[in-house]
Amino acid sequence: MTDATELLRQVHPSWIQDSRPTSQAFRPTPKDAGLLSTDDGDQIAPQPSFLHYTTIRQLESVGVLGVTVLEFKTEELVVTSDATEHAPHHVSVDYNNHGRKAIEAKSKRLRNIACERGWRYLHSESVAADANAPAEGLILPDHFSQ
Amino acid sequence: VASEAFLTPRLTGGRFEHQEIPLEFLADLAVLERLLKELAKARFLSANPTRRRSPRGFMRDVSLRLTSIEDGSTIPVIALSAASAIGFLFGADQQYLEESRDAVVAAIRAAETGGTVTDYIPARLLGYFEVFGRSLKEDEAVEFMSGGQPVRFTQETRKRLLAATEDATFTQPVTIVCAIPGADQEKETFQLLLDSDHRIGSSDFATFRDEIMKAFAGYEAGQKVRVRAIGRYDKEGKLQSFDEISSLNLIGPLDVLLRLQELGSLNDGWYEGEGKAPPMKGLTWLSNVFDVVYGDELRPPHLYPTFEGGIRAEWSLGTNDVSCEIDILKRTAEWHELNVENNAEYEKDLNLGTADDWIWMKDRLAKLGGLGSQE
Repeated sequence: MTDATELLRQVHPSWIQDSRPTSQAFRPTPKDAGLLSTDDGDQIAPQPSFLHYTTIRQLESVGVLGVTVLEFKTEELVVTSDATEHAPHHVSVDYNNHGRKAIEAKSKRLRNIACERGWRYLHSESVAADANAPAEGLILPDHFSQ
Repeated sequence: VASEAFLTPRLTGGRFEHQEIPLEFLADLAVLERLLKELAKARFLSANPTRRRSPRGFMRDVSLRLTSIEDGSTIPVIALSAASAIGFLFGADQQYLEESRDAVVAAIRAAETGGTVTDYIPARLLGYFEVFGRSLKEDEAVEFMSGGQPVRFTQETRKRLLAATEDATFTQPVTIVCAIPGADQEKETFQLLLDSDHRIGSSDFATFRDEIMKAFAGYEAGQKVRVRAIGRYDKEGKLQSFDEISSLNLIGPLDVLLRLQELGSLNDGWYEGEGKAPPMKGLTWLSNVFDVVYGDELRPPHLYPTFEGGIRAEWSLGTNDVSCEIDILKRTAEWHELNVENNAEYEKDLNLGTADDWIWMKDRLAKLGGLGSQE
Protein backbone atom coordinates (compact mmCIF):
# COMPACT_ATOMS: atom_id res chain seq x y z
CA MET A 1 0.00 0.00 0.00
CA THR A 2 1.41 3.37 -1.05
CA ASP A 3 0.22 6.94 -0.81
CA ALA A 4 -1.34 6.54 -4.24
CA THR A 5 -3.36 3.49 -3.22
CA GLU A 6 -7.06 4.06 -3.50
CA LEU A 7 -8.99 2.93 -0.46
CA LEU A 8 -12.44 1.65 -1.38
CA ARG A 9 -15.45 2.66 0.66
CA GLN A 10 -18.92 1.07 0.44
CA VAL A 11 -21.94 3.40 0.49
CA HIS A 12 -25.26 2.35 2.03
CA PRO A 13 -28.31 2.70 -0.30
CA SER A 14 -29.98 5.13 2.13
CA TRP A 15 -26.89 7.32 2.05
CA ILE A 16 -27.38 8.29 -1.57
CA GLN A 17 -30.16 10.50 -2.92
CA ASP A 18 -30.44 11.67 -6.51
CA SER A 19 -26.96 10.20 -7.11
CA ARG A 20 -25.39 12.30 -4.31
CA PRO A 21 -23.84 10.50 -1.32
CA THR A 22 -23.89 11.97 2.19
CA SER A 23 -20.61 12.93 3.82
CA GLN A 24 -21.55 10.49 6.60
CA ALA A 25 -20.09 7.84 4.30
CA PHE A 26 -16.67 9.26 5.20
CA ARG A 27 -16.86 9.27 8.95
CA PRO A 28 -17.05 6.33 11.35
CA THR A 29 -20.42 5.49 12.91
CA PRO A 30 -20.68 5.14 16.73
CA LYS A 31 -20.24 1.36 16.43
CA ASP A 32 -16.88 1.72 14.67
CA ALA A 33 -14.77 2.90 17.62
CA GLY A 34 -13.46 5.78 15.54
CA LEU A 35 -12.21 3.57 12.70
CA LEU A 36 -13.53 3.92 9.15
CA SER A 37 -13.58 0.62 7.25
CA THR A 38 -12.17 0.52 3.72
CA ASP A 39 -10.63 -2.01 1.34
CA ASP A 40 -7.11 -1.78 -0.09
CA GLY A 41 -7.62 -0.92 -3.77
CA ASP A 42 -4.23 -2.43 -4.65
CA GLN A 43 -5.41 -5.80 -3.34
CA ILE A 44 -8.97 -5.91 -4.59
CA ALA A 45 -10.84 -4.19 -7.43
CA PRO A 46 -13.99 -2.15 -6.73
CA GLN A 47 -16.50 -4.68 -8.09
CA PRO A 48 -15.10 -7.70 -6.17
CA SER A 49 -14.93 -5.46 -3.09
CA PHE A 50 -18.64 -4.68 -3.56
CA LEU A 51 -19.49 -8.36 -4.09
CA HIS A 52 -17.53 -9.42 -1.01
CA TYR A 53 -19.36 -6.83 1.06
CA THR A 54 -22.85 -7.60 -0.27
CA THR A 55 -22.72 -11.37 -0.85
CA ILE A 56 -20.14 -12.76 1.59
CA ARG A 57 -20.80 -10.33 4.41
CA GLN A 58 -24.44 -9.85 3.27
CA LEU A 59 -24.43 -6.12 3.94
CA GLU A 60 -26.08 -3.41 1.85
CA SER A 61 -24.19 -1.17 -0.55
CA VAL A 62 -25.10 0.91 -3.54
CA GLY A 63 -21.55 1.14 -4.84
CA VAL A 64 -17.93 1.97 -4.13
CA LEU A 65 -16.17 5.33 -3.79
CA GLY A 66 -12.41 5.78 -3.61
CA VAL A 67 -10.06 8.07 -1.65
CA THR A 68 -6.29 7.66 -1.75
CA VAL A 69 -4.09 7.01 1.27
CA LEU A 70 -2.43 10.39 0.71
CA GLU A 71 -5.80 12.17 0.70
CA PHE A 72 -6.66 10.59 4.05
CA LYS A 73 -3.21 11.49 5.40
CA THR A 74 -3.65 15.09 4.27
CA GLU A 75 -6.64 15.17 6.64
CA GLU A 76 -4.29 14.00 9.43
CA LEU A 77 -5.94 10.59 9.54
CA VAL A 78 -3.90 7.48 10.27
CA VAL A 79 -4.23 4.65 7.76
CA THR A 80 -3.53 1.09 8.93
CA SER A 81 -3.77 -2.18 7.07
CA ASP A 82 -5.50 -4.64 9.42
CA ALA A 83 -6.56 -7.54 7.23
CA THR A 84 -8.29 -10.51 8.84
CA GLU A 85 -9.47 -13.87 7.55
CA HIS A 86 -13.01 -12.51 7.04
CA ALA A 87 -11.81 -9.18 5.65
CA PRO A 88 -8.56 -9.99 3.82
CA HIS A 89 -8.14 -6.54 2.25
CA HIS A 90 -9.31 -4.42 5.17
CA VAL A 91 -7.74 -1.05 5.91
CA SER A 92 -8.79 1.14 8.83
CA VAL A 93 -8.71 4.92 8.83
CA ASP A 94 -8.39 6.24 12.37
CA TYR A 95 -10.41 9.36 13.32
CA ASN A 96 -9.84 9.04 17.07
CA ASN A 97 -7.50 11.99 17.42
CA HIS A 98 -10.12 14.45 16.20
CA GLY A 99 -13.23 16.06 17.67
CA ARG A 100 -16.72 16.05 16.25
CA LYS A 101 -16.44 19.40 14.48
CA ALA A 102 -13.14 18.50 12.85
CA ILE A 103 -14.52 15.15 11.68
CA GLU A 104 -17.52 16.94 10.19
CA ALA A 105 -15.29 19.08 7.99
CA LYS A 106 -12.95 16.21 7.09
CA SER A 107 -15.83 13.98 6.02
CA LYS A 108 -17.24 16.71 3.78
CA ARG A 109 -13.89 17.28 2.09
CA LEU A 110 -13.32 13.55 1.62
CA ARG A 111 -16.81 13.04 0.20
CA ASN A 112 -16.14 15.82 -2.32
CA ILE A 113 -12.80 14.32 -3.33
CA ALA A 114 -14.41 10.91 -3.80
CA CYS A 115 -17.30 12.33 -5.82
CA GLU A 116 -14.96 14.30 -8.03
CA ARG A 117 -13.05 11.09 -8.74
CA GLY A 118 -16.34 9.37 -9.53
CA TRP A 119 -17.86 6.07 -8.57
CA ARG A 120 -15.30 3.27 -8.73
CA TYR A 121 -18.20 0.85 -9.00
CA LEU A 122 -21.93 1.57 -9.02
CA HIS A 123 -24.36 -1.29 -8.86
CA SER A 124 -26.71 -0.93 -11.83
CA GLU A 125 -29.87 -2.18 -10.07
CA SER A 126 -29.28 0.27 -7.24
CA VAL A 127 -28.83 3.08 -9.74
CA ALA A 128 -32.01 2.08 -11.52
CA ALA A 129 -33.89 2.02 -8.24
CA ASP A 130 -32.63 5.49 -7.35
CA ALA A 131 -33.42 6.85 -10.81
CA ASN A 132 -36.93 5.44 -10.70
CA ALA A 133 -37.78 6.89 -7.32
CA PRO A 134 -40.35 7.97 -6.38
CA ALA A 135 -42.13 4.71 -6.94
CA GLU A 136 -45.53 4.68 -8.51
CA GLY A 137 -48.49 4.03 -6.30
CA LEU A 138 -46.74 5.03 -3.13
CA ILE A 139 -49.54 6.19 -0.87
CA LEU A 140 -48.42 8.54 1.82
CA PRO A 141 -50.12 8.56 5.19
CA ASP A 142 -52.15 11.72 5.44
CA HIS A 143 -49.83 13.32 7.99
CA PHE A 144 -47.35 13.69 5.14
CA SER A 145 -49.84 15.82 3.29
CA GLN A 146 -50.16 18.46 5.97
CA VAL B 1 -80.26 27.55 28.82
CA ALA B 2 -77.22 25.34 28.94
CA SER B 3 -76.69 22.14 30.91
CA GLU B 4 -73.47 21.08 32.55
CA ALA B 5 -70.83 19.50 30.36
CA PHE B 6 -72.50 16.92 28.15
CA LEU B 7 -69.40 15.67 26.41
CA THR B 8 -65.70 16.30 27.14
CA PRO B 9 -63.63 14.33 24.65
CA ARG B 10 -59.86 14.58 24.96
CA LEU B 11 -58.15 15.32 21.64
CA THR B 12 -54.66 13.83 21.34
CA GLY B 13 -51.76 13.73 18.90
CA GLY B 14 -50.71 15.76 15.86
CA ARG B 15 -52.56 19.04 15.51
CA PHE B 16 -53.88 18.91 19.07
CA GLU B 17 -50.48 18.73 20.78
CA HIS B 18 -50.24 22.45 21.37
CA GLN B 19 -53.60 22.82 23.11
CA GLU B 20 -55.27 24.16 20.03
CA ILE B 21 -58.23 22.85 18.07
CA PRO B 22 -58.05 23.51 14.32
CA LEU B 23 -61.18 25.05 12.89
CA GLU B 24 -61.62 22.21 10.42
CA PHE B 25 -62.21 19.85 13.34
CA LEU B 26 -65.27 21.87 14.38
CA ALA B 27 -66.98 20.49 11.25
CA ASP B 28 -66.44 17.01 12.67
CA LEU B 29 -68.08 18.02 15.94
CA ALA B 30 -71.04 19.52 14.08
CA VAL B 31 -71.64 16.18 12.38
CA LEU B 32 -71.42 14.42 15.74
CA GLU B 33 -74.38 16.51 16.90
CA ARG B 34 -76.41 15.45 13.86
CA LEU B 35 -75.54 11.81 14.49
CA LEU B 36 -76.58 12.08 18.15
CA LYS B 37 -79.93 13.64 17.27
CA GLU B 38 -80.72 11.09 14.56
CA LEU B 39 -79.72 8.31 16.91
CA ALA B 40 -81.95 9.80 19.62
CA LYS B 41 -84.90 9.71 17.20
CA ALA B 42 -84.13 6.12 16.25
CA ARG B 43 -83.93 5.12 19.90
CA PHE B 44 -87.21 6.88 20.67
CA LEU B 45 -88.97 4.96 17.91
CA SER B 46 -87.39 1.74 19.04
CA ALA B 47 -88.65 2.37 22.60
CA ASN B 48 -92.11 3.31 21.28
CA PRO B 49 -92.84 0.72 18.58
CA THR B 50 -96.43 1.86 18.13
CA ARG B 51 -95.28 5.26 16.88
CA ARG B 52 -94.34 5.80 13.27
CA ARG B 53 -92.42 9.00 13.84
CA SER B 54 -90.89 10.93 16.73
CA PRO B 55 -93.05 13.63 18.44
CA ARG B 56 -93.37 17.02 16.81
CA GLY B 57 -90.54 19.26 17.99
CA PHE B 58 -88.48 16.34 19.31
CA MET B 59 -84.82 17.49 19.27
CA ARG B 60 -85.85 20.77 17.64
CA ASP B 61 -85.12 23.04 20.57
CA VAL B 62 -81.95 21.41 21.86
CA SER B 63 -78.47 21.78 20.50
CA LEU B 64 -74.90 21.10 21.45
CA ARG B 65 -72.63 24.07 22.10
CA LEU B 66 -68.91 24.32 22.45
CA THR B 67 -68.72 26.31 25.67
CA SER B 68 -65.02 26.20 26.54
CA ILE B 69 -61.73 24.36 26.20
CA GLU B 70 -60.38 23.04 29.47
CA ASP B 71 -57.21 24.72 30.67
CA GLY B 72 -53.96 22.87 30.15
CA SER B 73 -55.29 20.33 27.70
CA THR B 74 -57.18 19.95 24.46
CA ILE B 75 -60.59 19.03 25.81
CA PRO B 76 -63.52 20.83 24.22
CA VAL B 77 -66.37 21.15 26.70
CA ILE B 78 -69.62 20.52 24.87
CA ALA B 79 -72.81 21.44 26.68
CA LEU B 80 -76.40 20.61 25.92
CA SER B 81 -78.37 23.76 25.30
CA ALA B 82 -82.13 24.30 25.10
CA ALA B 83 -84.02 27.21 23.59
CA SER B 84 -85.93 27.48 26.89
CA ALA B 85 -85.98 25.81 30.28
CA ILE B 86 -89.17 24.07 29.24
CA GLY B 87 -87.23 21.93 26.85
CA PHE B 88 -85.27 20.44 29.72
CA LEU B 89 -88.16 20.24 32.16
CA PHE B 90 -90.69 18.45 30.03
CA GLY B 91 -88.87 16.99 27.09
CA ALA B 92 -87.35 13.61 26.80
CA ASP B 93 -84.70 15.14 24.57
CA GLN B 94 -81.97 15.19 27.15
CA GLN B 95 -82.46 11.62 28.24
CA TYR B 96 -82.38 10.33 24.67
CA LEU B 97 -79.38 12.44 23.76
CA GLU B 98 -77.48 11.09 26.75
CA GLU B 99 -78.40 7.55 25.75
CA SER B 100 -77.28 8.30 22.19
CA ARG B 101 -73.98 9.69 23.42
CA ASP B 102 -73.39 6.53 25.44
CA ALA B 103 -74.36 4.38 22.45
CA VAL B 104 -71.90 6.19 20.19
CA VAL B 105 -69.10 5.68 22.70
CA ALA B 106 -70.12 2.02 23.07
CA ALA B 107 -70.08 1.59 19.27
CA ILE B 108 -66.61 3.10 19.08
CA ARG B 109 -65.46 0.76 21.83
CA ALA B 110 -66.97 -2.16 19.91
CA ALA B 111 -65.07 -1.07 16.80
CA GLU B 112 -61.91 -0.82 18.88
CA THR B 113 -62.29 -4.26 20.45
CA GLY B 114 -63.75 -6.21 17.53
CA GLY B 115 -67.36 -6.13 18.79
CA THR B 116 -70.52 -5.59 16.77
CA VAL B 117 -71.06 -1.89 16.23
CA THR B 118 -74.62 -2.31 14.97
CA ASP B 119 -75.60 -3.47 18.47
CA TYR B 120 -75.40 0.24 19.34
CA ILE B 121 -75.95 2.23 16.15
CA PRO B 122 -78.18 1.15 13.23
CA ALA B 123 -76.19 0.49 10.04
CA ARG B 124 -78.06 3.25 8.19
CA LEU B 125 -76.71 5.88 10.63
CA LEU B 126 -73.09 4.76 10.51
CA GLY B 127 -72.67 6.87 7.38
CA TYR B 128 -72.24 9.89 9.70
CA PHE B 129 -68.77 8.58 10.40
CA GLU B 130 -68.10 9.36 6.75
CA VAL B 131 -67.61 12.93 7.90
CA PHE B 132 -67.10 12.66 11.68
CA GLY B 133 -63.41 11.90 12.06
CA ARG B 134 -62.51 12.34 8.41
CA SER B 135 -60.08 15.14 9.20
CA LEU B 136 -58.25 13.09 11.86
CA LYS B 137 -54.61 12.40 11.02
CA GLU B 138 -53.07 8.98 11.56
CA ASP B 139 -51.51 9.93 14.87
CA GLU B 140 -54.57 11.72 16.23
CA ALA B 141 -57.40 10.42 18.39
CA VAL B 142 -60.58 11.56 20.10
CA GLU B 143 -60.75 9.95 23.52
CA PHE B 144 -64.08 9.46 25.25
CA MET B 145 -64.38 8.12 28.77
CA SER B 146 -66.61 5.18 29.56
CA GLY B 147 -66.69 3.55 32.98
CA GLY B 148 -63.41 5.25 33.84
CA GLN B 149 -61.72 3.77 30.79
CA PRO B 150 -60.66 5.75 27.71
CA VAL B 151 -62.30 4.80 24.41
CA ARG B 152 -60.21 5.97 21.45
CA PHE B 153 -61.74 7.06 18.17
CA THR B 154 -59.08 6.98 15.44
CA GLN B 155 -58.99 6.56 11.66
CA GLU B 156 -58.71 2.84 12.28
CA THR B 157 -61.86 2.64 14.44
CA ARG B 158 -63.62 4.96 11.99
CA LYS B 159 -62.85 2.57 9.13
CA ARG B 160 -64.27 -0.33 11.14
CA LEU B 161 -67.44 1.62 11.87
CA LEU B 162 -67.82 2.47 8.20
CA ALA B 163 -67.18 -1.12 7.18
CA ALA B 164 -70.50 -1.97 8.90
CA THR B 165 -72.49 0.58 6.88
CA GLU B 166 -74.93 -0.54 4.23
CA ASP B 167 -72.89 1.28 1.58
CA ALA B 168 -69.51 0.12 3.00
CA THR B 169 -67.31 2.68 1.33
CA PHE B 170 -65.58 5.48 3.14
CA THR B 171 -63.73 8.64 2.28
CA GLN B 172 -60.53 9.95 3.75
CA PRO B 173 -58.02 12.65 2.85
CA VAL B 174 -55.17 11.05 0.96
CA THR B 175 -51.88 12.10 -0.53
CA ILE B 176 -50.70 9.83 -3.30
CA VAL B 177 -47.78 9.72 -5.69
CA CYS B 178 -48.68 8.49 -9.15
CA ALA B 179 -48.12 8.95 -12.89
CA ILE B 180 -50.44 10.28 -15.60
CA PRO B 181 -50.29 7.93 -18.60
CA GLY B 182 -53.41 9.27 -20.29
CA ALA B 183 -55.17 12.60 -20.76
CA ASP B 184 -58.00 13.62 -23.09
CA GLN B 185 -58.06 17.38 -23.60
CA GLU B 186 -61.29 17.27 -25.55
CA LYS B 187 -63.21 15.31 -22.93
CA GLU B 188 -61.25 16.96 -20.12
CA THR B 189 -60.46 13.70 -18.39
CA PHE B 190 -57.23 12.04 -17.36
CA GLN B 191 -55.95 8.81 -15.87
CA LEU B 192 -53.85 8.34 -12.77
CA LEU B 193 -51.64 5.26 -12.63
CA LEU B 194 -51.10 4.14 -9.06
CA ASP B 195 -49.34 0.90 -9.95
CA SER B 196 -49.24 -1.44 -12.91
CA ASP B 197 -52.86 -2.55 -12.58
CA HIS B 198 -54.46 0.18 -10.51
CA ARG B 199 -55.75 3.12 -12.54
CA ILE B 200 -58.17 5.81 -11.50
CA GLY B 201 -59.92 8.17 -13.87
CA SER B 202 -60.74 11.76 -13.02
CA SER B 203 -62.51 14.67 -14.63
CA ASP B 204 -60.85 17.35 -12.48
CA PHE B 205 -58.93 18.35 -15.59
CA ALA B 206 -59.49 22.06 -16.05
CA THR B 207 -58.16 23.14 -12.64
CA PHE B 208 -54.85 21.34 -13.11
CA ARG B 209 -54.53 21.45 -16.90
CA ASP B 210 -50.89 22.63 -17.04
CA GLU B 211 -49.58 20.15 -14.49
CA ILE B 212 -51.54 17.28 -16.04
CA MET B 213 -50.20 17.99 -19.52
CA LYS B 214 -46.61 18.27 -18.25
CA ALA B 215 -46.94 15.03 -16.31
CA PHE B 216 -48.50 13.33 -19.34
CA ALA B 217 -45.66 14.56 -21.59
CA GLY B 218 -43.08 13.38 -19.06
CA TYR B 219 -44.71 10.00 -18.42
CA GLU B 220 -42.15 7.98 -20.38
CA ALA B 221 -39.31 9.77 -18.57
CA GLY B 222 -40.78 8.76 -15.21
CA GLN B 223 -42.42 12.05 -14.21
CA LYS B 224 -44.62 11.64 -11.15
CA VAL B 225 -47.20 13.85 -9.47
CA ARG B 226 -48.39 14.24 -5.90
CA VAL B 227 -52.15 14.36 -5.62
CA ARG B 228 -53.94 15.54 -2.50
CA ALA B 229 -57.57 14.62 -2.49
CA ILE B 230 -60.54 13.17 -0.69
CA GLY B 231 -60.21 9.54 -1.65
CA ARG B 232 -63.11 7.09 -1.74
CA TYR B 233 -62.19 3.59 -0.56
CA ASP B 234 -64.01 0.28 -0.72
CA LYS B 235 -64.57 -2.00 2.25
CA GLU B 236 -61.13 -3.58 1.81
CA GLY B 237 -59.50 -0.18 1.99
CA LYS B 238 -58.63 0.00 -1.71
CA LEU B 239 -58.72 3.46 -3.22
CA GLN B 240 -61.49 3.54 -5.83
CA SER B 241 -61.85 7.17 -6.89
CA PHE B 242 -61.26 10.75 -5.87
CA ASP B 243 -64.26 12.73 -4.64
CA GLU B 244 -62.34 15.96 -4.84
CA ILE B 245 -58.75 16.77 -5.82
CA SER B 246 -57.40 19.71 -3.86
CA SER B 247 -53.93 19.85 -5.39
CA LEU B 248 -51.86 18.14 -8.09
CA ASN B 249 -48.15 18.95 -8.29
CA LEU B 250 -45.23 17.68 -10.30
CA ILE B 251 -42.65 15.93 -8.14
CA GLY B 252 -38.95 16.71 -8.36
CA PRO B 253 -36.05 14.40 -7.48
CA LEU B 254 -35.58 16.01 -4.06
CA ASP B 255 -39.15 15.93 -2.87
CA VAL B 256 -38.87 16.25 0.92
CA LEU B 257 -42.13 14.61 1.93
CA LEU B 258 -41.59 11.61 -0.29
CA ARG B 259 -38.00 11.20 0.87
CA LEU B 260 -39.01 11.28 4.53
CA GLN B 261 -41.74 8.77 3.79
CA GLU B 262 -39.14 6.50 2.16
CA LEU B 263 -36.86 6.82 5.19
CA GLY B 264 -39.81 5.81 7.36
CA SER B 265 -39.56 2.32 5.89
CA LEU B 266 -36.12 1.71 7.45
CA ASN B 267 -35.99 -0.83 10.26
CA ASP B 268 -33.72 -0.96 13.28
CA GLY B 269 -30.43 -2.51 12.22
CA TRP B 270 -30.58 -0.88 8.77
CA TYR B 271 -26.86 -0.07 8.80
CA GLU B 272 -24.62 -3.12 8.99
CA GLY B 273 -27.02 -4.79 11.41
CA GLU B 274 -27.02 -1.76 13.66
CA GLY B 275 -28.34 1.76 13.18
CA LYS B 276 -31.60 3.00 14.66
CA ALA B 277 -34.59 3.53 12.40
CA PRO B 278 -35.94 7.10 12.39
CA PRO B 279 -39.02 7.05 14.65
CA MET B 280 -42.30 7.69 12.82
CA LYS B 281 -43.37 10.29 15.38
CA GLY B 282 -40.28 12.34 14.61
CA LEU B 283 -40.64 11.89 10.85
CA THR B 284 -44.24 13.06 11.06
CA TRP B 285 -43.18 16.18 12.92
CA LEU B 286 -40.39 16.92 10.46
CA SER B 287 -42.67 16.35 7.46
CA ASN B 288 -45.31 18.67 8.85
CA VAL B 289 -42.88 21.43 9.73
CA PHE B 290 -41.01 21.20 6.42
CA ASP B 291 -44.25 21.31 4.50
CA VAL B 292 -45.55 24.32 6.37
CA VAL B 293 -42.42 26.31 7.20
CA TYR B 294 -39.66 25.57 4.70
CA GLY B 295 -41.16 27.12 1.63
CA ASP B 296 -40.87 26.50 -2.11
CA GLU B 297 -38.53 29.44 -2.60
CA LEU B 298 -35.63 27.52 -1.03
CA ARG B 299 -33.71 24.67 -2.56
CA PRO B 300 -34.80 21.37 -1.06
CA PRO B 301 -32.05 19.56 0.84
CA HIS B 302 -30.74 16.08 0.25
CA LEU B 303 -31.97 14.01 3.20
CA TYR B 304 -30.29 10.99 4.75
CA PRO B 305 -30.85 8.89 7.87
CA THR B 306 -28.26 9.04 10.64
CA PHE B 307 -26.97 6.02 12.50
CA GLU B 308 -28.60 7.34 15.69
CA GLY B 309 -32.12 7.53 14.20
CA GLY B 310 -32.04 11.17 13.18
CA ILE B 311 -32.24 12.91 9.82
CA ARG B 312 -29.41 14.78 8.18
CA ALA B 313 -30.13 17.52 5.66
CA GLU B 314 -27.34 18.56 3.29
CA TRP B 315 -27.08 21.37 0.79
CA SER B 316 -24.26 22.03 -1.71
CA LEU B 317 -24.50 25.79 -2.21
CA GLY B 318 -21.69 27.10 -4.39
CA THR B 319 -18.55 26.89 -2.31
CA ASN B 320 -20.46 26.04 0.86
CA ASP B 321 -21.19 22.53 2.05
CA VAL B 322 -24.00 22.93 4.55
CA SER B 323 -25.42 20.27 6.84
CA CYS B 324 -28.05 20.15 9.54
CA GLU B 325 -28.16 17.00 11.63
CA ILE B 326 -31.55 16.77 13.30
CA ASP B 327 -32.59 14.84 16.41
CA ILE B 328 -36.19 14.41 15.31
CA LEU B 329 -37.49 13.50 18.76
CA LYS B 330 -35.75 16.24 20.75
CA ARG B 331 -36.25 18.66 17.83
CA THR B 332 -32.72 19.93 18.14
CA ALA B 333 -30.10 20.17 15.43
CA GLU B 334 -26.42 20.78 14.75
CA TRP B 335 -25.82 23.20 11.91
CA HIS B 336 -22.46 23.12 10.14
CA GLU B 337 -21.06 25.05 7.18
CA LEU B 338 -17.79 24.39 5.40
CA ASN B 339 -16.46 26.76 2.78
CA VAL B 340 -14.57 24.36 0.53
CA GLU B 341 -12.40 27.14 -0.93
CA ASN B 342 -10.94 28.59 2.27
CA ASN B 343 -11.98 25.85 4.78
CA ALA B 344 -13.81 28.41 6.93
CA GLU B 345 -16.35 26.77 9.17
CA TYR B 346 -19.43 27.94 11.00
CA GLU B 347 -21.54 25.94 13.39
CA LYS B 348 -24.59 26.53 15.52
CA ASP B 349 -26.92 24.51 17.74
CA LEU B 350 -30.55 24.91 16.76
CA ASN B 351 -33.79 24.39 18.61
CA LEU B 352 -36.14 23.39 15.81
CA GLY B 353 -39.04 23.28 18.24
CA THR B 354 -39.16 27.06 17.90
CA ALA B 355 -40.16 29.17 14.92
CA ASP B 356 -37.18 31.48 15.54
CA ASP B 357 -34.59 28.87 14.58
CA TRP B 358 -36.49 27.81 11.47
CA ILE B 359 -36.57 31.44 10.42
CA TRP B 360 -32.85 31.69 11.15
CA MET B 361 -32.22 28.60 9.01
CA LYS B 362 -34.22 29.97 6.10
CA ASP B 363 -32.46 33.33 6.25
CA ARG B 364 -29.09 31.62 6.44
CA LEU B 365 -29.80 29.39 3.45
CA ALA B 366 -30.99 32.39 1.45
CA LYS B 367 -27.76 34.27 2.28
CA LEU B 368 -25.68 31.26 1.22
CA GLY B 369 -27.39 31.14 -2.16
CA GLY B 370 -30.07 28.60 -1.35
CA LEU B 371 -32.88 30.47 -3.08
CA GLY B 372 -34.41 28.82 -6.10
CA SER B 373 -36.12 25.46 -6.22
CA GLN B 374 -34.30 22.61 -7.93
CA GLU B 375 -37.58 20.92 -8.64
